[in-house]
Amino acid sequence: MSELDTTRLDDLVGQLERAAEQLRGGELSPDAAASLVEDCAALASQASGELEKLTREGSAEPAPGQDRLL
Amino acid sequence: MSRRTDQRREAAFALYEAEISGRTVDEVLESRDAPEFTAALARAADTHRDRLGGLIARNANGWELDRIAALERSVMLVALAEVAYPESIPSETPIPPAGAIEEAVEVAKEYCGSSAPAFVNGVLDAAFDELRQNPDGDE
Repeated sequence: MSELDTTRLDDLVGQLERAAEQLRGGELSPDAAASLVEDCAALASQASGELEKLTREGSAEPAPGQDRLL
Repeated sequence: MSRRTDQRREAAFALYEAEISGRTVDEVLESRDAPEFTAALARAADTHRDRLGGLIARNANGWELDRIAALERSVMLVALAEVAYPESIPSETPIPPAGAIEEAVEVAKEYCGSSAPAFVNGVLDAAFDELRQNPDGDE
């Protein structure tokens, strides 16, 4: 089974973690925090889409030992 | 978009921000200087999170609560809180379940993934049915 390319997903997760870290710091202005939270929602939505894509690609691969139907 | 619609969205985002930042809902609301309606909604959703989360989980077709995307979960908690705890929300006219679903679906369309609006619609519809049958529920 070939390895799935999770580069994009890893990148999105990294961006989300950095954004969450900024929010945890609590030093953003209310407007900046609100804007960053919306960015997080957009990143999470993209990550969800990427995960669905990877899941589809993964399930398209034949399971180990699975015979091909003739 | 009506003022109340904006404030429902803000309440959901306050819950979401609290979850991803690890701050409390009260801390987030204070930092945002949230208006009364937004704050009441977010606090009601947070205070009754166990009961409302149970309603979501039982009607989410096998999805466990912590496996549902955080913003979708927050949007649904706010919708359920407004209908289930009208006494906690300053409003002259309580929102009916259909209105709460419509508002939640609109937020999901704008900010969540492509499958989220249908998911939110289905879960809330079933959860409100359960709420009608058991309005007092178990806290």
